[in-house]
Amino acid sequence: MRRSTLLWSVLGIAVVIGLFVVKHRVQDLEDRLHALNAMIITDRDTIQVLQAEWSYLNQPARLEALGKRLLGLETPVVAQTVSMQELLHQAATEETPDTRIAKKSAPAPDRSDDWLTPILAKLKKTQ
Amino acid sequence: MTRDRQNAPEKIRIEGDHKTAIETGRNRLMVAGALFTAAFAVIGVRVVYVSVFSDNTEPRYTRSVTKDEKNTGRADIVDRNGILMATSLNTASLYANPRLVIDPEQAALRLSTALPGIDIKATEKKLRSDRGFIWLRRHLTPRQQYAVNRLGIPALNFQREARRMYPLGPLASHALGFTDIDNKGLSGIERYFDKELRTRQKNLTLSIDVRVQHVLERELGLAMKKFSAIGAAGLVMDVNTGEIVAMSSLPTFDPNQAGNVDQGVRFNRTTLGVYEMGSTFKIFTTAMALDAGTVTLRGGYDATDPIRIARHVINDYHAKKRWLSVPEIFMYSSNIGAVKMALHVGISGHKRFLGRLGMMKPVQVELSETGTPLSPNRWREINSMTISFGHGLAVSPLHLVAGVSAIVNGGIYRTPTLIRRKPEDIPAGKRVVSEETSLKMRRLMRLVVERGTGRKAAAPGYLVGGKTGTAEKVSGRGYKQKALISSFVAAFPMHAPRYVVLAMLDEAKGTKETSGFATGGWVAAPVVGAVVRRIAPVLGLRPINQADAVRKALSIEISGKPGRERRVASH
Repeated sequence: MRRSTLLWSVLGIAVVIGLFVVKHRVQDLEDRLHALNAMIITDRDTIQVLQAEWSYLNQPARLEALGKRLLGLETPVVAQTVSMQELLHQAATEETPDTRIAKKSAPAPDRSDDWLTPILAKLKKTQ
Repeated sequence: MTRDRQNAPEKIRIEGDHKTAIETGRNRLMVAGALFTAAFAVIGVRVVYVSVFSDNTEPRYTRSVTKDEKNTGRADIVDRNGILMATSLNTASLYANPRLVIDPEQAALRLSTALPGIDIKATEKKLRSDRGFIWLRRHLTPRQQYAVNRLGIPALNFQREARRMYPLGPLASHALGFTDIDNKGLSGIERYFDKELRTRQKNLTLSIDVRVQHVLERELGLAMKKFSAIGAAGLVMDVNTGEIVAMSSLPTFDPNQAGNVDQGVRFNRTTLGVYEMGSTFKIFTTAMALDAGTVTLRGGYDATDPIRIARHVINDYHAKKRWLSVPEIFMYSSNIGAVKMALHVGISGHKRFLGRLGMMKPVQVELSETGTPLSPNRWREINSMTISFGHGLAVSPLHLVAGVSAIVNGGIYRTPTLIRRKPEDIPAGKRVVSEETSLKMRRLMRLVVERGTGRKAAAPGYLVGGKTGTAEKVSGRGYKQKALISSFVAAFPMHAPRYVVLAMLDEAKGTKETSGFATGGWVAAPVVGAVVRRIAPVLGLRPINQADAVRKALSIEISGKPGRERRVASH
C-alpha cells in the first residue's frame, strides 16, 4: 500500500513536470513562429516593393532613352540580323562576300555540328 | 420529511433522537453523493464524447504563412512575359480620433510641418469634430509616416492599407484601367475582373506584351504630334490565337493619378469608340466577293462613271475612269468597284457576311468599355453600297482588327482577348471565308504595300501587306471634309501571317512633307511600317532575306481586260 502510493505520486509529479516543460517549449516555439511569420510578411512586402521598383525602372520608354543616350543603341535593321546557321556557316568557311552570294542558292552544308563539338565538349567538362 | 418521520409509528421513536439525527445525516449524504455522481457521470460522458467520438482536434492558435498568401488586397496583373503591370503595395494611412485631441489648432499646425500641402484650416476643423474616426491623409510615404510619428501627437494613428500601383506608368493604361482609393476597379481590366482580382491570390496574366505596347504607343504618339491629330488608336493582334498583344489609345493617362484625368482622355478609342472605317472595309467586301465566287482575281468591274443613287454620287478618290480588275480595284481603292462587287453578291449576303465577322454587335473582349456598332436600321441597297467602302457602318478598331485577322489567318474568326491563352485554350473559332480566299486576300494586301496606296508601310524582310483607309468624320447629319479618320491595317509576314497591326489617327492634318495629304497612306501607313520594323525582332520573327521565292508566290498579276497586260503606275 505504501509502496504503490509512493510510486503513483512519483509518477504524478513526473507527468506534471513533463507537461510543464512541454508547454513551455510549445509556447516558445509559437512565439518564434509568430516572429518568423511577421518577418516573412515584412519581407514579402519588401519584395513586392522591389518588384514594383524593378518594373518601374524597366519601363520600356526609360530603357529606350537610356540606351540611346548612354549606349548609342538604335533600332536594329534587317542587315544586322543573322541566323545561327548562317553565322556558324560563315565562321566555319571564312567566305568572301562574293562566294557567299554564289553559295546562297545551294543549301548550306551542315558543318555546324563538327564546328561546335569541341566547344560543347569543353562546356560539359567544366560543368 | 422530518415531521413525517416524527409522526411515524413508534418503532423509530423508540431508537431515540440520536438515531434520527444519524439517519438524517445519512440521507443528506446520500443526496449529495448522488448529485456528485451525476455530475461526474455527465463530465465523464462528455470527456469520452469529446476525446473519442468528435473529430475536433485541439485548436491551433498559431500557423505558418502559406507560400502564396499575400496580405495586400488585389492580385497583381502581369504582361504575357510576367512583367509587373499592376500591383498592390502596403502603405500607411493616417487617421485620427478627434475625441483624444488636446489642442486641435496646435496639432493641425504641427501636422503641416510633417505633411506639406495639407490644408491647416480644414485639418483643424476635422480634429475639432465630435467623431471617433477621421481620415487625415491616405497612403503616406514611409518618410511622411516617420515624420508624423515623430510629432508624437497621441490622437494620430496609422492604418495599413494596400494601394494600387502601376509601375509602368501610362503604358497600356486604357487596357489596364485603374482603381479608386478603396481599390475598387473603375475601368479596363481592373473593372472587368474586379471581383476576381479581389479574391484570387495568383497573378492575372494579360496577352499584352509591354515591349510591343511601348513601340506602338511611341510610334503612334510621334505620328500624332507630327500630323497634329487629336487622337490615335493602335492595335497589334496575334492572328492565330486572337490575343491582343498591344492596345493603345492616345492621348494616354497615368493610372496612378487617374482621379484628375479628363473623361475624354480615359476614353478607349480602340474598343469604345466606333468609327466609319473607310476603305479598310474593302478588305471585307473583296473577301466576300471572292469567297462567294461572284468574281475572280482575273475579273473586274467598269469604274468609268461615278455611281449616282438618290441624291448621292459615289466617286473614286484615285479615279482611273476605265475598267478595273479586282486587284486594281483593291490597290487603287476604287469605291465604284467596291460598290459593284458588293451589289453583285447581294444585300442579304453582304449583311450576313459582316454579321459573321462580328460587325453587328459589340466586340467580345474582357473590357466593359465596348462600343456598339452603329449599323443602319433598315439595310437597303444604298446602305450596302456605302458600307462596301466603309461608310454607313461604324465599328470599333478592334472589330476591324478581329475581322482582318480572320481574313488573313486562313479564314477563321476568333474572339479577341486580353488574357493570355495557353495553347490548349485557343478556341477553334468559326470559319468565315475559305482558305483559298484568305490566300488571295493576302496577295491583294501585299500588293497594296508593294505597289499601291500603302507603300509607306513597307518593312524590309517582313513582307507587310495591308490596306489604307480614310474616312471623313460624321458631324451632325453630314460629313466634315477636313476631319479625317486615317487608318492603315496590315498583317505580316504575308506568306504566313502572325500579327495584324492597326494604326489609326483621328483628325490628322497634312504637312508639307505629305504635300498636305492626311490620308491613311500618308499618315497611318508609315506608323505601321515603323511598328513592324521594331516589333518583329522582339516577337522573334526572322526577316526573310531571300524573299524572292516567297515574294513571287505572293505576287499577283494585275491584268486589265483578259489578254491585255498593263504595267501599273502606283500612287
